[in-house]
Amino acid sequence: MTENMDHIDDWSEIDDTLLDTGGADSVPPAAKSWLADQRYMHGLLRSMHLADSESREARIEAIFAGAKPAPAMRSGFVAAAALLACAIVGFIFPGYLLPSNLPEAQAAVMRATKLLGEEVDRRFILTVSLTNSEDREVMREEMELTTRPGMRILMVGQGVGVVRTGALRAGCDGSEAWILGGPFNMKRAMPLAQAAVLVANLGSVLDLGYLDLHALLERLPKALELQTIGREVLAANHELLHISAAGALPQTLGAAAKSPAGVSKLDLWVDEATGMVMRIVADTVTQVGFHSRVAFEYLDTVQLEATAYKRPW
Amino acid sequence: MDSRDLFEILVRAHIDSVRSFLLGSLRDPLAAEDLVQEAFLVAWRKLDYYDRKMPFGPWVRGIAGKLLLNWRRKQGRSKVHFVDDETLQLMDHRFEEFSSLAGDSFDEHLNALRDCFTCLSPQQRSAIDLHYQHGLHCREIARRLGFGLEAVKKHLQRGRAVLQKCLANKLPSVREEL
Repeated sequence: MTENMDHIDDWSEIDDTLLDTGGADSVPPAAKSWLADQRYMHGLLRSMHLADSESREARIEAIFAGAKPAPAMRSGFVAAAALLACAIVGFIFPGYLLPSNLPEAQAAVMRATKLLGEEVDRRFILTVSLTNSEDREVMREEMELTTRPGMRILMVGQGVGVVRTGALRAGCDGSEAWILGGPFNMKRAMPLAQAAVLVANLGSVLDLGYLDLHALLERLPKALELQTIGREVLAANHELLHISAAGALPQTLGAAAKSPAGVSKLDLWVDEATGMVMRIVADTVTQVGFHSRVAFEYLDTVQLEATAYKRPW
Repeated sequence: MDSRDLFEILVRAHIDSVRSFLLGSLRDPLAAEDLVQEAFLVAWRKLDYYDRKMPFGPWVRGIAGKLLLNWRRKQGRSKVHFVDDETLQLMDHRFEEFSSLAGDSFDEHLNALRDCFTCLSPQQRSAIDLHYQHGLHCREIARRLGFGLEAVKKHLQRGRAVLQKCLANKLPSVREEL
Protein backbone atom coordinates (compact mmCIF):
# COMPACT_ATOMS: atom_id res chain seq x y z
CA MET A 1 0.00 0.00 0.00
CA THR A 2 1.39 3.40 -0.97
CA GLU A 3 2.44 5.87 1.67
CA ASN A 4 0.10 8.34 0.07
CA MET A 5 0.18 10.99 2.78
CA ASP A 6 3.70 12.05 1.82
CA HIS A 7 2.83 13.32 -1.63
CA ILE A 8 -0.19 15.52 -1.05
CA ASP A 9 1.87 18.70 -1.26
CA ASP A 10 3.59 17.50 -4.45
CA TRP A 11 0.62 16.21 -6.38
CA SER A 12 -2.44 17.90 -4.90
CA GLU A 13 -3.10 19.83 -8.09
CA ILE A 14 -3.39 16.78 -10.31
CA ASP A 15 -6.25 15.41 -8.24
CA ASP A 16 -9.00 16.70 -10.49
CA THR A 17 -11.78 15.21 -8.35
CA LEU A 18 -11.71 18.46 -6.37
CA LEU A 19 -11.95 20.77 -9.39
CA ASP A 20 -15.33 22.10 -10.41
CA THR A 21 -14.53 21.72 -14.10
CA GLY A 22 -11.73 20.55 -16.35
CA GLY A 23 -8.92 18.27 -15.29
CA ALA A 24 -5.50 16.96 -16.09
CA ASP A 25 -4.54 15.66 -19.52
CA SER A 26 -1.63 13.71 -18.16
CA VAL A 27 0.02 13.01 -14.84
CA PRO A 28 3.63 12.16 -13.96
CA PRO A 29 4.15 8.37 -13.86
CA ALA A 30 5.32 8.59 -10.26
CA ALA A 31 2.02 10.19 -9.26
CA LYS A 32 -0.24 7.51 -10.64
CA SER A 33 -0.22 5.29 -7.60
CA TRP A 34 -1.02 8.25 -5.36
CA LEU A 35 -3.77 9.32 -7.75
CA ALA A 36 -5.23 5.80 -7.82
CA ASP A 37 -5.32 5.80 -4.01
CA GLN A 38 -7.20 9.10 -3.99
CA ARG A 39 -9.64 7.90 -6.67
CA TYR A 40 -10.23 4.64 -4.86
CA MET A 41 -11.26 6.46 -1.69
CA HIS A 42 -13.19 9.06 -3.69
CA GLY A 43 -15.22 6.26 -5.33
CA LEU A 44 -15.87 4.49 -2.04
CA LEU A 45 -16.95 7.67 -0.26
CA ARG A 46 -19.26 8.67 -3.08
CA SER A 47 -20.69 5.18 -3.25
CA MET A 48 -21.27 5.14 0.50
CA HIS A 49 -23.25 8.35 0.42
CA LEU A 50 -25.12 7.68 -2.81
CA ALA A 51 -26.34 4.24 -1.78
CA ASP A 52 -29.92 3.17 -1.32
CA SER A 53 -31.41 -0.26 -1.71
CA GLU A 54 -34.29 0.78 -3.98
CA SER A 55 -32.08 2.36 -6.62
CA ARG A 56 -29.76 -0.63 -6.35
CA GLU A 57 -32.61 -2.97 -7.22
CA ALA A 58 -33.63 -0.66 -10.05
CA ARG A 59 -30.09 -0.81 -11.43
CA ILE A 60 -30.11 -4.60 -11.32
CA GLU A 61 -33.53 -4.74 -12.99
CA ALA A 62 -32.30 -2.38 -15.70
CA ILE A 63 -29.36 -4.67 -16.40
CA PHE A 64 -31.62 -7.69 -16.78
CA ALA A 65 -34.10 -5.77 -18.88
CA GLY A 66 -31.28 -5.18 -21.34
CA ALA A 67 -29.81 -8.69 -21.07
CA LYS A 68 -32.59 -10.50 -22.87
CA PRO A 69 -30.85 -12.61 -25.48
CA ALA A 70 -28.90 -15.44 -23.88
CA PRO A 71 -25.22 -15.42 -24.76
CA ALA A 72 -23.86 -18.28 -26.83
CA MET A 73 -22.50 -20.28 -23.94
CA ARG A 74 -19.88 -22.94 -24.14
CA SER A 75 -21.41 -26.15 -22.93
CA GLY A 76 -18.79 -26.06 -20.20
CA PHE A 77 -20.32 -22.97 -18.67
CA VAL A 78 -23.74 -24.56 -18.48
CA ALA A 79 -22.24 -27.72 -17.11
CA ALA A 80 -20.27 -25.74 -14.54
CA ALA A 81 -23.41 -23.92 -13.50
CA ALA A 82 -25.26 -27.18 -13.11
CA LEU A 83 -22.29 -28.61 -11.29
CA LEU A 84 -22.23 -25.70 -8.91
CA ALA A 85 -25.83 -26.37 -8.01
CA CYS A 86 -25.09 -30.06 -7.62
CA ALA A 87 -22.04 -29.40 -5.53
CA ILE A 88 -23.83 -27.00 -3.23
CA VAL A 89 -27.17 -28.50 -2.71
CA GLY A 90 -27.24 -32.24 -3.24
CA PHE A 91 -30.19 -33.84 -4.95
CA ILE A 92 -33.93 -34.35 -4.70
CA PHE A 93 -36.31 -37.19 -5.32
CA PRO A 94 -39.42 -37.61 -7.48
CA GLY A 95 -42.60 -39.62 -7.29
CA TYR A 96 -41.66 -42.98 -8.69
CA LEU A 97 -42.86 -46.06 -6.90
CA LEU A 98 -41.48 -49.53 -7.07
CA PRO A 99 -43.92 -52.38 -6.44
CA SER A 100 -42.62 -54.27 -3.43
CA ASN A 101 -41.78 -53.17 0.09
CA LEU A 102 -39.60 -55.68 1.82
CA PRO A 103 -39.00 -55.53 5.57
CA GLU A 104 -35.39 -56.50 4.93
CA ALA A 105 -34.81 -53.26 3.06
CA GLN A 106 -36.51 -51.16 5.73
CA ALA A 107 -34.51 -52.80 8.50
CA ALA A 108 -31.23 -52.28 6.70
CA VAL A 109 -31.96 -48.62 6.08
CA MET A 110 -33.07 -48.06 9.68
CA ARG A 111 -29.88 -49.67 10.97
CA ALA A 112 -27.77 -47.52 8.68
CA THR A 113 -29.71 -44.47 9.84
CA LYS A 114 -28.89 -45.27 13.45
CA LEU A 115 -25.20 -45.52 12.61
CA LEU A 116 -25.20 -42.25 10.71
CA GLY A 117 -26.98 -40.64 13.67
CA GLU A 118 -23.94 -41.09 15.90
CA GLU A 119 -22.01 -37.95 16.74
CA VAL A 120 -19.22 -38.93 14.37
CA ASP A 121 -17.65 -37.23 11.34
CA ARG A 122 -17.92 -39.52 8.33
CA ARG A 123 -16.14 -39.04 5.04
CA PHE A 124 -17.61 -39.84 1.65
CA ILE A 125 -16.51 -39.28 -1.90
CA LEU A 126 -19.24 -37.32 -3.63
CA THR A 127 -19.20 -37.70 -7.41
CA VAL A 128 -21.38 -35.63 -9.70
CA SER A 129 -21.41 -36.45 -13.39
CA LEU A 130 -23.40 -34.98 -16.24
CA THR A 131 -24.20 -36.54 -19.58
CA ASN A 132 -25.82 -34.72 -22.46
CA SER A 133 -28.80 -35.82 -24.53
CA GLU A 134 -26.43 -37.85 -26.74
CA ASP A 135 -25.39 -39.81 -23.67
CA ARG A 136 -21.90 -38.31 -23.73
CA GLU A 137 -20.36 -37.43 -20.39
CA VAL A 138 -19.63 -33.70 -20.39
CA MET A 139 -18.52 -33.34 -16.82
CA ARG A 140 -17.37 -35.31 -13.82
CA GLU A 141 -16.65 -33.71 -10.49
CA GLU A 142 -15.39 -35.48 -7.43
CA MET A 143 -15.45 -33.94 -4.00
CA GLU A 144 -14.75 -35.09 -0.51
CA LEU A 145 -17.82 -34.80 1.69
CA THR A 146 -17.66 -34.98 5.48
CA THR A 147 -20.92 -35.08 7.42
CA ARG A 148 -22.08 -35.12 10.99
CA PRO A 149 -25.73 -35.25 12.06
CA GLY A 150 -27.43 -31.91 12.52
CA MET A 151 -26.85 -30.51 9.07
CA ARG A 152 -23.12 -30.23 9.50
CA ILE A 153 -21.50 -30.78 6.14
CA LEU A 154 -18.17 -29.93 4.56
CA MET A 155 -17.28 -30.40 0.89
CA VAL A 156 -13.84 -29.90 -0.58
CA GLY A 157 -13.02 -30.50 -4.20
CA GLN A 158 -11.13 -29.58 -7.31
CA GLY A 159 -12.67 -29.52 -10.76
CA VAL A 160 -11.62 -32.43 -12.94
CA GLY A 161 -12.44 -33.79 -16.38
CA VAL A 162 -14.06 -31.67 -19.06
CA VAL A 163 -14.93 -28.77 -16.78
CA ARG A 164 -12.43 -27.42 -14.30
CA THR A 165 -14.13 -25.26 -11.74
CA GLY A 166 -11.15 -24.48 -9.52
CA ALA A 167 -10.87 -25.27 -5.83
CA LEU A 168 -14.22 -25.28 -4.14
CA ARG A 169 -15.14 -25.51 -0.47
CA ALA A 170 -18.71 -25.50 0.69
CA GLY A 171 -20.41 -26.40 3.89
CA CYS A 172 -22.93 -25.84 6.59
CA ASP A 173 -22.46 -25.65 10.36
CA GLY A 174 -26.05 -26.49 11.15
CA SER A 175 -27.33 -22.96 10.88
CA GLU A 176 -25.35 -21.24 8.13
CA ALA A 177 -24.57 -22.50 4.62
CA TRP A 178 -21.53 -21.17 2.78
CA ILE A 179 -19.50 -21.60 -0.39
CA LEU A 180 -15.98 -20.45 -1.20
CA GLY A 181 -14.21 -20.62 -4.56
CA GLY A 182 -15.42 -22.62 -7.53
CA PRO A 183 -16.58 -20.88 -10.71
CA PHE A 184 -16.20 -17.09 -10.37
CA ASN A 185 -14.45 -17.49 -6.99
CA MET A 186 -17.70 -17.23 -5.13
CA LYS A 187 -17.67 -16.28 -1.46
CA ARG A 188 -21.12 -16.43 0.00
CA ALA A 189 -22.72 -17.37 3.28
CA MET A 190 -26.32 -17.28 4.38
CA PRO A 191 -28.55 -18.60 7.12
CA LEU A 192 -29.67 -22.12 6.33
CA ALA A 193 -33.29 -20.96 6.46
CA GLN A 194 -32.56 -18.61 3.58
CA ALA A 195 -30.56 -21.08 1.53
CA ALA A 196 -33.69 -21.90 -0.47
CA VAL A 197 -33.22 -18.53 -2.14
CA LEU A 198 -29.81 -19.67 -3.32
CA VAL A 199 -31.34 -22.95 -4.46
CA ALA A 200 -33.92 -20.99 -6.45
CA ASN A 201 -31.21 -18.75 -7.91
CA LEU A 202 -29.28 -21.80 -8.99
CA GLY A 203 -32.17 -23.30 -10.88
CA SER A 204 -33.99 -25.12 -8.10
CA VAL A 205 -32.43 -28.39 -9.13
CA LEU A 206 -31.37 -29.57 -5.75
CA ASP A 207 -31.89 -29.55 -2.05
CA LEU A 208 -29.17 -28.74 0.44
CA GLY A 209 -30.82 -30.75 3.20
CA TYR A 210 -30.03 -34.07 1.56
CA LEU A 211 -26.30 -33.68 2.02
CA ASP A 212 -26.98 -34.44 5.67
CA LEU A 213 -26.96 -38.15 4.95
CA HIS A 214 -28.35 -39.09 8.34
CA ALA A 215 -31.38 -36.88 7.76
CA LEU A 216 -31.70 -38.30 4.25
CA LEU A 217 -31.76 -41.91 5.34
CA GLU A 218 -34.06 -41.09 8.23
CA ARG A 219 -36.69 -39.93 5.77
CA LEU A 220 -36.44 -42.88 3.42
CA PRO A 221 -38.64 -45.48 5.17
CA LYS A 222 -41.41 -42.93 5.81
CA ALA A 223 -41.40 -41.26 2.44
CA LEU A 224 -40.22 -43.81 -0.08
CA GLU A 225 -40.90 -47.35 -1.18
CA LEU A 226 -37.86 -49.54 -0.46
CA GLN A 227 -37.12 -52.70 -2.38
CA THR A 228 -34.30 -55.18 -1.99
CA ILE A 229 -32.68 -55.88 -5.32
CA GLY A 230 -30.20 -58.48 -4.12
CA ARG A 231 -26.71 -58.97 -2.79
CA GLU A 232 -23.85 -57.70 -4.89
CA VAL A 233 -20.11 -57.78 -4.64
CA LEU A 234 -18.62 -54.36 -5.10
CA ALA A 235 -15.06 -53.25 -4.38
CA ALA A 236 -12.77 -55.36 -2.20
CA ASN A 237 -14.87 -58.49 -2.69
CA HIS A 238 -17.33 -57.21 -0.16
CA GLU A 239 -20.93 -58.34 -0.47
CA LEU A 240 -23.44 -55.55 0.01
CA LEU A 241 -27.22 -55.45 0.13
CA HIS A 242 -28.54 -53.49 -2.84
CA ILE A 243 -31.72 -51.51 -2.11
CA SER A 244 -33.75 -49.37 -4.48
CA ALA A 245 -35.83 -46.49 -3.19
CA ALA A 246 -38.43 -44.41 -4.96
CA GLY A 247 -41.21 -42.01 -4.08
CA ALA A 248 -41.84 -38.38 -3.29
CA LEU A 249 -39.51 -36.97 -0.67
CA PRO A 250 -40.45 -33.62 0.90
CA GLN A 251 -38.11 -30.69 0.32
CA THR A 252 -36.03 -29.69 3.29
CA LEU A 253 -35.70 -25.99 2.59
CA GLY A 254 -39.29 -24.82 2.35
CA ALA A 255 -41.28 -23.57 -0.57
CA ALA A 256 -38.87 -20.97 -1.91
CA ALA A 257 -37.36 -23.37 -4.40
CA LYS A 258 -39.27 -23.94 -7.60
CA SER A 259 -40.18 -27.43 -8.77
CA PRO A 260 -36.95 -29.36 -8.85
CA ALA A 261 -35.91 -31.77 -11.51
CA GLY A 262 -36.78 -35.36 -10.72
CA VAL A 263 -34.66 -38.31 -9.73
CA SER A 264 -35.27 -41.18 -12.06
CA LYS A 265 -33.47 -43.77 -9.93
CA LEU A 266 -32.05 -44.02 -6.41
CA ASP A 267 -30.04 -46.94 -5.08
CA LEU A 268 -28.28 -47.75 -1.82
CA TRP A 269 -25.75 -50.46 -0.97
CA VAL A 270 -25.57 -51.47 2.70
CA ASP A 271 -22.92 -53.58 4.44
CA GLU A 272 -25.00 -56.11 6.39
CA ALA A 273 -22.07 -56.97 8.63
CA THR A 274 -21.54 -53.46 9.93
CA GLY A 275 -24.90 -51.94 9.03
CA MET A 276 -23.18 -49.04 7.28
CA VAL A 277 -24.48 -47.62 3.99
CA MET A 278 -21.48 -47.83 1.71
CA ARG A 279 -22.87 -46.29 -1.43
CA ILE A 280 -25.79 -44.10 -2.53
CA VAL A 281 -26.45 -43.30 -6.18
CA ALA A 282 -29.15 -40.98 -7.53
CA ASP A 283 -29.86 -40.38 -11.20
CA THR A 284 -31.61 -37.12 -12.08
CA VAL A 285 -32.54 -35.05 -15.09
CA THR A 286 -31.51 -31.42 -14.58
CA GLN A 287 -33.50 -28.42 -15.76
CA VAL A 288 -30.99 -27.76 -18.51
CA GLY A 289 -31.61 -31.20 -19.96
CA PHE A 290 -28.51 -33.00 -18.72
CA HIS A 291 -28.68 -36.39 -17.05
CA SER A 292 -27.00 -36.09 -13.72
CA ARG A 293 -25.71 -38.82 -11.44
CA VAL A 294 -24.84 -38.05 -7.83
CA ALA A 295 -22.98 -40.80 -5.96
CA PHE A 296 -21.75 -41.06 -2.37
CA GLU A 297 -19.05 -43.62 -1.57
CA TYR A 298 -18.32 -44.13 2.11
CA LEU A 299 -14.65 -43.83 3.08
CA ASP A 300 -14.14 -43.76 6.84
CA THR A 301 -14.62 -41.78 10.03
CA VAL A 302 -12.49 -38.79 10.91
CA GLN A 303 -12.31 -36.44 13.84
CA LEU A 304 -12.97 -32.83 12.98
CA GLU A 305 -13.20 -29.79 15.21
CA ALA A 306 -16.71 -28.34 15.39
CA THR A 307 -15.30 -25.22 13.73
CA ALA A 308 -14.44 -27.24 10.62
CA TYR A 309 -18.03 -26.89 9.46
CA LYS A 310 -18.09 -23.14 9.88
CA ARG A 311 -17.28 -20.74 7.08
CA PRO A 312 -13.53 -20.20 6.90
CA TRP A 313 -13.60 -16.42 6.74
CA MET B 1 -29.98 -24.23 -14.24
CA ASP B 2 -29.64 -21.39 -16.63
CA SER B 3 -26.77 -19.01 -17.14
CA ARG B 4 -29.02 -16.04 -16.48
CA ASP B 5 -29.70 -17.19 -12.91
CA LEU B 6 -26.01 -17.52 -12.22
CA PHE B 7 -25.29 -14.20 -13.87
CA GLU B 8 -27.79 -12.54 -11.55
CA ILE B 9 -25.80 -13.79 -8.58
CA LEU B 10 -22.66 -12.32 -10.09
CA VAL B 11 -24.34 -9.00 -10.82
CA ARG B 12 -25.59 -8.75 -7.25
CA ALA B 13 -22.17 -9.64 -5.88
CA HIS B 14 -20.21 -7.13 -7.97
CA ILE B 15 -22.48 -4.25 -8.96
CA ASP B 16 -21.52 -2.05 -6.00
CA SER B 17 -17.82 -2.55 -6.60
CA VAL B 18 -18.14 -1.62 -10.29
CA ARG B 19 -20.25 1.40 -9.41
CA SER B 20 -17.70 2.66 -6.87
CA PHE B 21 -14.89 2.06 -9.34
CA LEU B 22 -16.66 4.27 -11.88
CA LEU B 23 -17.73 6.89 -9.35
CA GLY B 24 -14.05 7.38 -8.59
CA SER B 25 -13.47 8.80 -12.07
CA LEU B 26 -16.77 10.20 -13.34
CA ARG B 27 -18.12 13.56 -12.26
CA ASP B 28 -21.73 12.79 -13.05
CA PRO B 29 -23.22 9.97 -10.93
CA LEU B 30 -25.92 9.37 -13.53
CA ALA B 31 -23.25 8.75 -16.14
CA ALA B 32 -21.72 6.26 -13.72
CA GLU B 33 -25.07 4.45 -13.48
CA ASP B 34 -25.23 4.26 -17.28
CA LEU B 35 -21.74 2.82 -17.50
CA VAL B 36 -22.45 0.31 -14.72
CA GLN B 37 -25.38 -0.98 -16.74
CA GLU B 38 -23.36 -1.01 -19.94
CA ALA B 39 -20.46 -2.83 -18.29
CA PHE B 40 -22.69 -5.67 -17.11
CA LEU B 41 -24.48 -5.90 -20.44
CA VAL B 42 -21.11 -6.26 -22.16
CA ALA B 43 -20.13 -8.85 -19.54
CA TRP B 44 -23.34 -10.76 -20.28
CA ARG B 45 -22.63 -10.76 -24.00
CA LYS B 46 -18.97 -11.69 -23.49
CA LEU B 47 -19.51 -14.26 -20.75
CA ASP B 48 -18.40 -17.00 -23.10
CA TYR B 49 -14.90 -15.49 -23.15
CA TYR B 50 -14.56 -15.17 -19.42
CA ASP B 51 -11.94 -17.46 -17.85
CA ARG B 52 -13.83 -19.02 -14.96
CA LYS B 53 -10.63 -19.77 -13.09
CA MET B 54 -10.12 -16.04 -12.60
CA PRO B 55 -12.11 -13.85 -10.19
CA PHE B 56 -15.10 -12.15 -11.76
CA GLY B 57 -14.61 -8.72 -10.11
CA PRO B 58 -11.42 -7.66 -11.97
CA TRP B 59 -12.86 -8.95 -15.23
CA VAL B 60 -16.02 -6.87 -15.08
CA ARG B 61 -14.15 -3.85 -13.72
CA GLY B 62 -11.77 -4.24 -16.67
CA ILE B 63 -14.77 -3.94 -18.98
CA ALA B 64 -15.96 -0.90 -17.03
CA GLY B 65 -12.49 0.64 -17.36
CA LYS B 66 -12.48 0.26 -21.14
CA LEU B 67 -15.91 1.86 -21.33
CA LEU B 68 -14.64 4.67 -19.14
CA LEU B 69 -11.68 5.35 -21.42
CA ASN B 70 -14.00 5.43 -24.45
CA TRP B 71 -16.37 7.72 -22.59
CA ARG B 72 -13.52 10.11 -21.78
CA ARG B 73 -12.43 10.19 -25.41
CA LYS B 74 -15.96 11.10 -26.45
CA GLN B 75 -16.96 13.42 -23.61
CA GLY B 76 -13.65 15.02 -22.72
CA ARG B 77 -11.97 15.78 -19.43
CA SER B 78 -14.82 17.98 -18.20
CA LYS B 79 -16.89 14.82 -17.70
CA VAL B 80 -14.28 12.23 -16.81
CA HIS B 81 -11.25 12.75 -14.57
CA PHE B 82 -7.82 11.77 -15.79
CA VAL B 83 -7.59 8.03 -16.34
CA ASP B 84 -5.32 5.75 -18.29
CA ASP B 85 -4.77 2.00 -18.33
CA GLU B 86 -2.15 2.11 -15.59
CA THR B 87 -4.26 4.21 -13.22
CA LEU B 88 -7.26 1.98 -13.82
CA GLN B 89 -5.23 -1.13 -13.06
CA LEU B 90 -3.95 0.39 -9.86
CA MET B 91 -7.48 1.32 -8.84
CA ASP B 92 -8.73 -2.16 -9.69
CA HIS B 93 -6.07 -3.63 -7.44
CA ARG B 94 -7.31 -1.43 -4.56
CA PHE B 95 -10.90 -2.57 -5.13
CA GLU B 96 -9.86 -6.21 -5.21
CA GLU B 97 -8.14 -5.71 -1.86
CA PHE B 98 -11.28 -4.02 -0.57
CA SER B 99 -13.30 -7.13 -1.43
CA SER B 100 -11.10 -9.16 0.92
CA LEU B 101 -12.13 -7.12 3.97
CA ALA B 102 -14.24 -8.81 6.63
CA GLY B 103 -17.85 -9.30 5.60
CA ASP B 104 -19.84 -10.97 2.85
CA SER B 105 -21.21 -8.00 0.97
CA PHE B 106 -19.93 -4.70 -0.32
CA ASP B 107 -22.02 -2.88 2.28
CA GLU B 108 -20.45 -4.97 5.03
CA HIS B 109 -17.03 -4.05 3.65
CA LEU B 110 -18.08 -0.41 3.80
CA ASN B 111 -18.60 -0.86 7.54
CA ALA B 112 -14.82 -1.05 7.81
CA LEU B 113 -14.63 2.34 6.13
CA ARG B 114 -17.31 3.76 8.43
CA ASP B 115 -15.30 2.54 11.42
CA CYS B 116 -12.26 4.38 10.08
CA PHE B 117 -13.98 7.76 10.37
CA THR B 118 -12.87 7.87 13.99
CA CYS B 119 -9.29 8.25 12.73
CA LEU B 120 -10.06 11.57 11.01
CA SER B 121 -9.23 14.92 12.51
CA PRO B 122 -12.26 17.20 13.16
CA GLN B 123 -11.35 19.34 10.13
CA GLN B 124 -10.96 16.32 7.87
CA ARG B 125 -14.23 14.87 9.14
CA SER B 126 -16.10 18.13 8.52
CA ALA B 127 -14.68 18.53 5.04
CA ILE B 128 -15.50 14.94 4.09
CA ASP B 129 -19.02 15.12 5.50
CA LEU B 130 -19.77 18.38 3.68
CA HIS B 131 -18.27 17.18 0.42
CA TYR B 132 -19.61 13.62 0.23
CA GLN B 133 -22.70 13.62 2.40
CA HIS B 134 -23.99 17.08 1.51
CA GLY B 135 -22.48 17.36 -1.96
CA LEU B 136 -20.84 20.74 -1.42
CA HIS B 137 -18.02 21.96 -3.66
CA CYS B 138 -14.70 22.94 -2.13
CA ARG B 139 -15.43 26.69 -2.37
CA GLU B 140 -18.66 26.34 -0.43
CA ILE B 141 -16.99 24.16 2.17
CA ALA B 142 -14.25 26.78 2.54
CA ARG B 143 -16.86 29.49 3.05
CA ARG B 144 -18.77 27.49 5.64
CA LEU B 145 -15.75 26.35 7.61
CA GLY B 146 -13.83 29.60 7.29
CA PHE B 147 -10.83 27.90 5.70
CA GLY B 148 -8.96 28.78 2.55
CA LEU B 149 -9.81 26.81 -0.60
CA GLU B 150 -6.45 25.07 -0.69
CA ALA B 151 -6.77 24.12 2.96
CA VAL B 152 -10.11 22.45 2.25
CA LYS B 153 -8.59 20.46 -0.62
CA LYS B 154 -5.74 19.35 1.62
CA HIS B 155 -8.15 18.31 4.38
CA LEU B 156 -10.10 16.23 1.88
CA GLN B 157 -7.02 14.63 0.40
CA ARG B 158 -5.41 13.99 3.76
CA GLY B 159 -8.72 12.65 5.05
CA ARG B 160 -8.90 10.18 2.18
CA ALA B 161 -5.31 9.14 2.83
CA VAL B 162 -6.06 8.58 6.53
CA LEU B 163 -9.10 6.48 5.66
CA GLN B 164 -7.17 4.46 3.13
CA LYS B 165 -4.37 3.76 5.56
CA CYS B 166 -6.92 2.68 8.16
CA LEU B 167 -8.61 0.38 5.63
CA ALA B 168 -5.28 -1.07 4.57
CA ASN B 169 -4.59 -2.04 8.17
CA LYS B 170 -7.84 -4.00 8.20
CA LEU B 171 -6.86 -6.16 5.21
CA PRO B 172 -6.49 -9.83 6.11
CA SER B 173 -2.89 -9.95 4.84
CA VAL B 174 -1.92 -7.05 7.08
CA ARG B 175 -3.82 -8.40 10.10
CA GLU B 176 -1.95 -11.69 9.79
CA GLU B 177 1.38 -9.88 9.88
CA LEU B 178 0.47 -7.89 12.99
